[in-house]
Amino acid sequence: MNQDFETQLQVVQRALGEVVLPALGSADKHVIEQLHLSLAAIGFMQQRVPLARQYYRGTLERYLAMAGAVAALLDADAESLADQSKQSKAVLDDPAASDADLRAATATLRAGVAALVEAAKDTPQESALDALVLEYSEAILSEDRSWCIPLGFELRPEDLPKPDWQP
Amino acid sequence: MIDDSIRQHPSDAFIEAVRARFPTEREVDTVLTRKMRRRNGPSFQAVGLETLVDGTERLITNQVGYPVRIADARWLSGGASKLQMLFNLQWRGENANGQAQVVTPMVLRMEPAASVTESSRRREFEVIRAVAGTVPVPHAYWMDPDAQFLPYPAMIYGFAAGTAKPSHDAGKVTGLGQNYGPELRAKLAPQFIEYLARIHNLPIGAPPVLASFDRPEVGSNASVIRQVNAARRIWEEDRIEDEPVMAVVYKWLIRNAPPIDHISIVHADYRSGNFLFDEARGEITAWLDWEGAVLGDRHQDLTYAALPIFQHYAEDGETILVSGMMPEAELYAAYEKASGLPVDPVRIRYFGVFNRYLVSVLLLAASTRAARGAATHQDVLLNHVAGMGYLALSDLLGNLRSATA
Repeated sequence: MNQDFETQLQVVQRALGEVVLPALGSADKHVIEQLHLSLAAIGFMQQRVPLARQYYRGTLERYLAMAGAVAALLDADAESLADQSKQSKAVLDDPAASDADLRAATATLRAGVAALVEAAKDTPQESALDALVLEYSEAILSEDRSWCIPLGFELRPEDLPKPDWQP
Repeated sequence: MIDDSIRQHPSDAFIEAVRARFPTEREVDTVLTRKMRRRNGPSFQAVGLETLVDGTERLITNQVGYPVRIADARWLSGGASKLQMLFNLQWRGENANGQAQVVTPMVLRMEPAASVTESSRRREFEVIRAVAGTVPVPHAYWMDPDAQFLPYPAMIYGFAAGTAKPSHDAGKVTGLGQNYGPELRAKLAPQFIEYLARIHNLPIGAPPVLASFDRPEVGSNASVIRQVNAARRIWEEDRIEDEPVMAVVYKWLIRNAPPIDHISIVHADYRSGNFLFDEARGEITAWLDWEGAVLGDRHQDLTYAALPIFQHYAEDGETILVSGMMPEAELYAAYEKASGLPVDPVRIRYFGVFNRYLVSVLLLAASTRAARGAATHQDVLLNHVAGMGYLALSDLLGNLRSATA
């Protein structure tokens, strides 16, 4: 197959950036701005499509670690999360799992942990649980920020730790 | 994603359950409920200028009682949330006198089907009228809050001259890390402080002034909790996936909500990029984007202006300037002096967390939801700014840790 995603994105980016954009000299400002933003979206995909699977797998692994720690802290109160973790681990271990499966498994764990945080209000475990969630989230958010670097919002992207999925 | 379909096509039961769970101000409730019901209606269609001209002419004719004519209609760029049309109105003027013909440049500001900030045109109109004469604002002429004449709720205000970005830094998305440069900054910064002080000291008149705003009570934190609930409700309605950090922060915000010590009009989006200025004279000509205004605590505006997404480094490469104006501590000190109102470190900490929570909701949930739903004329812009969401959430996490250390 000679039709790959990278080439599709590259040809569209070149056509829009080198042919269409110069031809829009006197167009309304918002038209040119939307084209620039479209190019930015394509540029993001060019950089991230080849790394998507590693990123999704890495994110699921980190949420499994968080869910494991939460389940250990709450014990019997986190049975449902423990079950979700088992199913999510099976997805991670399944070589046939799609990217959508990985993302769905991650979303399930995120929702499961968030629900327990809410339910723990005014319980003896609340402050330990909240602290644990913040601790595990720090590394996850660092990876998420790295994922979004191509969008150009990080003032000093070089200060972020190198993520596992980055070659 | 697991919980996406109920949010994209909400049932009545879902809508009512969320309303009951997160009670907020009456008008905010109305707007958010309308947003959710709209998701089950027809998808957003691009609106042509002809449609807007026709609706605007009918709206104004209805208001002034005689036929008017619109000329030179064109799109006005800027802003991520509303459709804006610039036009010249041929009419008899505000104090209609005989058949005299007056031409007045005006702007129609209309909602799309969804927005990064779902808000009330009625409140925007009322608050602009309330602050007119205290700070420079475009004149608010008429509104169509229930979309009687236009495809979506809208308002009409006078065109205000000025630019939102300095010519040397015109490529930026307005207000994000806006750098005015040292010369312009020196002229704008004192005005930035002075206008904020004036807004916060403006007496709140009795209804019908600001009739769409619930009145906070001094000594009570109920109005702060209503605001937290509004943000939490948007998170519940718009998010793409859940986020444990947001659950932790919400509990903290409810538990630590401070009582109001002085009721102010709060702009709620007071920052670089949300005012127009005359570049040659270095004068602020109009404050814009009042759509999120509330009656509440001044510390909300102070900490919003200081958010990291509106900061940049000064020429020395070390000093951080908030809203492109001055270091954070200087902002608070200058504000205290100008307003005579105290800046309370406890409330600064609280509203620092609150604003970061709100921004995280708007970026990770509202912007992403609107773009995914193909619900605006600016999907590509909303999708782009949503990419700041994890930066905002990371900042929220760090800020919460500092506040609770």
